[in-house]
Amino acid sequence: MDATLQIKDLCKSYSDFALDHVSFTLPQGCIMGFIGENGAGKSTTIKAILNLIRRDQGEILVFGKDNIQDELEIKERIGVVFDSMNLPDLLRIQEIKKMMPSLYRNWDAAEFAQYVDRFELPGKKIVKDFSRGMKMKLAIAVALSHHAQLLLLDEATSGLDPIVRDELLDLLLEYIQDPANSILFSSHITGDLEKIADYITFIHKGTIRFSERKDLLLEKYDVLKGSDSQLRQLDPTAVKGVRHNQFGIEALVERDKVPASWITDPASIEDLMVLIAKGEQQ
Amino acid sequence: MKGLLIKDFCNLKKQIKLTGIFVILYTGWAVAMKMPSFIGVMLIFLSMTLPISSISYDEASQWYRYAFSLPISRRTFVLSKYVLGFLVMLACLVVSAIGNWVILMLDGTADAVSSWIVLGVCLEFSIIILSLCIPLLFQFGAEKARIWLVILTVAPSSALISLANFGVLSEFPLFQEEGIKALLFSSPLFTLAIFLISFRISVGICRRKEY
Repeated sequence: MDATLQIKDLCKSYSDFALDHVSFTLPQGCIMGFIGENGAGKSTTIKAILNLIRRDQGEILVFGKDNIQDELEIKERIGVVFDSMNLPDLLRIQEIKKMMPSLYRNWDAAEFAQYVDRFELPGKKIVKDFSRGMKMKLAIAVALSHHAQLLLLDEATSGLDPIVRDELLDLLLEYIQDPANSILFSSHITGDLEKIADYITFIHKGTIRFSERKDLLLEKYDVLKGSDSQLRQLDPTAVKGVRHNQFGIEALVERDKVPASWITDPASIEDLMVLIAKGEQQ
Repeated sequence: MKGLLIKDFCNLKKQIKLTGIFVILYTGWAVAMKMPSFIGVMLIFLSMTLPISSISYDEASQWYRYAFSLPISRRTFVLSKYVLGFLVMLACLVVSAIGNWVILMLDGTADAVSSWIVLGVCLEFSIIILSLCIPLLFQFGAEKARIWLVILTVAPSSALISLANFGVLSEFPLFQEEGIKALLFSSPLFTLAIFLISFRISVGICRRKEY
């Protein structure tokens, strides 16, 4: 399977935070959930992909091309939705229709009109007066109306009500029906990702902790709720994260390495994220 | 770039309407007073107002981040702001020229050559102010750039006016008749050089910045 996006050894340092040798690959035709707590480095990674920030080290290939050398060509084929809708506040849909064909070579006016109708976006209101849900729908409509083959979503569903979120997730599933398309979806709403992602990449404190197929992750890990003595009986390599609480411990463990007689629960994506992050803190 | 200009003009629609009314009223007033130099001052003032507003709106909606995720080079983005400034300047120049012409028609005693020269000098000043304004806006953002702009324009102008009032300037050859003539003839080249340097600096700032 071809890779739509390859990040190799990406480093970027700030005074209080650093991306440390970030590497992962998004195969073509897949949705990758990019998870991590606030400030873990998700947005910084996406900004580096878009060349909005300068990387200190590493390589980013999009559609097999360098994201800096072939920047404009690549950006013709990328759709981007940030956590806030960044189209100018005082524009109306009609004005966006006038403006976008000059910004994207492949702008499809009919496609955009179809999304505007489908989302029932108000033609007469300025963007500033749209609800948050409408703003995000507009941003997604714009991102999908130039035949983008890679969709970068940076916390695009946060702050939306469950109904709008569900609508957007359906739209993403429609989009991914075309095997040429791929999505990198950064979010800390792990429930959304559990529904639609093929791959999960977890970033914590600027480093990638895992990047694997979602079904393999869910098959591989369990949550053990027990005692410290139980934990001591396990092979240390089987334990990926531990959280101590007043009742004992909660540990993320490899299912195959836990005695069959012990009671464990299947780990969710949220368990993976929380137990690895919390485990480190403790 | 066309898309960026469409965006700016749509975004500034309300302000452009208000500016248009102001230009017409102000020009009418300058014509009634038979003071062509007033029209030139308006040209200078307006050439920086709309680009400042445009960049303020861009900052408020975090447009930079989005714009640079589109297939637009930073050079094109910067150029669009200069073109916006020039288009505003051109519109004001047309109104100013008509106003000046009307004043000359109404006042037979007015010195036509001087009034056109004044308008030309004001146009050059407008270009210089725009050239100063845009790099400051990209470097510091709209809020801080306004303060820098005041410091960089008001301070030297006040110093020159004070020196002129004390009769100090006239002692310098540059400010005597021959010097002023030479200054007038060389000023278009000087203005063009400032404009080109400004554009290069703005592109450099924009390329260096992270969004």
